[in-house]
Amino acid sequence: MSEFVAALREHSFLQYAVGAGLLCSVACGIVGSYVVTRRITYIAGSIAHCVLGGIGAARYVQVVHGWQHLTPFVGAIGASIVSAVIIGIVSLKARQREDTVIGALWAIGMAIGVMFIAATPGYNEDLMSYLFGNILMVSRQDLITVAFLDAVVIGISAMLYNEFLAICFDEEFAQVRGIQVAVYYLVLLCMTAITVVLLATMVGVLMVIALLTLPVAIAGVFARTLKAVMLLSVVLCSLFTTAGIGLSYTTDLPAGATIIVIAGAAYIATIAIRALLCRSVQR
Amino acid sequence: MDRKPVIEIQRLSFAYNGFTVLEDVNLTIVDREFICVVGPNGGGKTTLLKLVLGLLRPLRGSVRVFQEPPDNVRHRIGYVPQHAYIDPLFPVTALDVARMGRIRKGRRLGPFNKKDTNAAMNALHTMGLDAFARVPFAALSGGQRQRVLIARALAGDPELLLLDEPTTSLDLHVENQFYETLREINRRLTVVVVSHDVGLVTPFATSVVCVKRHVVIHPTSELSGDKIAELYGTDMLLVRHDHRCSAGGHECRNL
Repeated sequence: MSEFVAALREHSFLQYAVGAGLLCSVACGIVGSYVVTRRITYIAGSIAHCVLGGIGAARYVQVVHGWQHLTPFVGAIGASIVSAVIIGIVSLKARQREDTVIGALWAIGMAIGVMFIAATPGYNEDLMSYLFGNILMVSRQDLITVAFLDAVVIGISAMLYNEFLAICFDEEFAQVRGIQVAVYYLVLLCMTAITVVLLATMVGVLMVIALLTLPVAIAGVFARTLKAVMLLSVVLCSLFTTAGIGLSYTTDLPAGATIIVIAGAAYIATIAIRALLCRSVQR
Repeated sequence: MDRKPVIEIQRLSFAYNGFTVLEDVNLTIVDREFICVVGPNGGGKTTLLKLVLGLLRPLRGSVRVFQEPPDNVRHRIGYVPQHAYIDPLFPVTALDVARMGRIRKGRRLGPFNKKDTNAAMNALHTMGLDAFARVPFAALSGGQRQRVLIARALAGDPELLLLDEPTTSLDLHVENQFYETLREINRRLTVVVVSHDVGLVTPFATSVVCVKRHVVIHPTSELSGDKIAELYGTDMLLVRHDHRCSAGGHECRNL
């Protein structure tokens, strides 16, 4: 651990990585809480995988047509918003077949990404970092972008907190109170989309869902209000990402996978301890 | 007494995917009535409530609430849904839930103000839940949760309260108490309650509305075992357990 702290002082790429992890954790804790309580984990997963389509398309256009400004990150944000709106509308309209359609979109988005990446000439090592994350590639510019998107997510959540709370708790009642439930739902999905892209830079599109839900699942055991769940999730997510980066640096293992394994272990430990405590109380 | 109509339904029909649920419904409910809606499962009770709320559109005919289309006056209606579908482990306190009733179209976005919190606390007080305001919803009993949901509806200062099967998860003793509370509320506003339990509600109700594709309204004084048997089908065995409450019932009937 002291080795990591020393390295952190020395290397700016590690500072950026930890900084990005902390910034992403804020959006992750807030949006993750909505995703879990509104029970749209599956939809968030689908958005995450569609992001790969945007990354691939942007990379292709960038390399083949020379559009330098269309970075994979820009493509990812664009694809995430587009897929969030499409998936949102599908889930609002196709109530009966919702899971089928969303499951299909999940794979289609990913397939498009794989095709574009394969068609892009040159060295395609990048694909792995999109799938499994590469937090050590974060630049100063990325950090500013992440901070900006963070601010957007925090701002919207703070302003619409009560409305979102009412919708997640009881959608029908919220509708009776005159809330445009469908509009809020789409806004929530767009916030989810932005958060998914932020997290994907750290852990990759394949593992986003775990980072979005595990801190909330742990927080849910202890916290009694949604606000408390959010705060605790932010703290937990920060701990997991920082510990994951530290451990991956010292052991030379991939950071994304390390973060997820730490979060998973913490979740299992929480559930096990709770089960033991409940049993001892009953005795 | 000449009272203002609260709900006016005229020649209304409604169908789900071509299957007729309600047909040629005519119904007028006036201010301060206490209406009990009864009928078999799938008879259209909940559908009728949702039409009044404007959540569903009639196939034919019209629904007017406070002499306007339901969409315009929805914020004046307090709605208590069947609480079966609400996640009991959701991280909220009783006060959080009650305050949800303060949300309305055109509300300034952001945190609730003092007035909202006071209204929610008053609603919890009406339901006898002052001491539970900060208690997690998950830690409450079934009956307490149901009362929190009513407090949520009351927090918005409604003039009409619609309740869908509010007593499904309550035991008989609590249920009786529950209807006493509703009668208190009824002094201030019109109450429409969907219930499977005709015997228990009728002592409190001014009229019973029977819904089984068609809708018939009976003043409670006219309601007999025959009518109920007719409504539910002849196989229905009616267990009367309302004798104890009949004194209170007479009082209500003459409203």
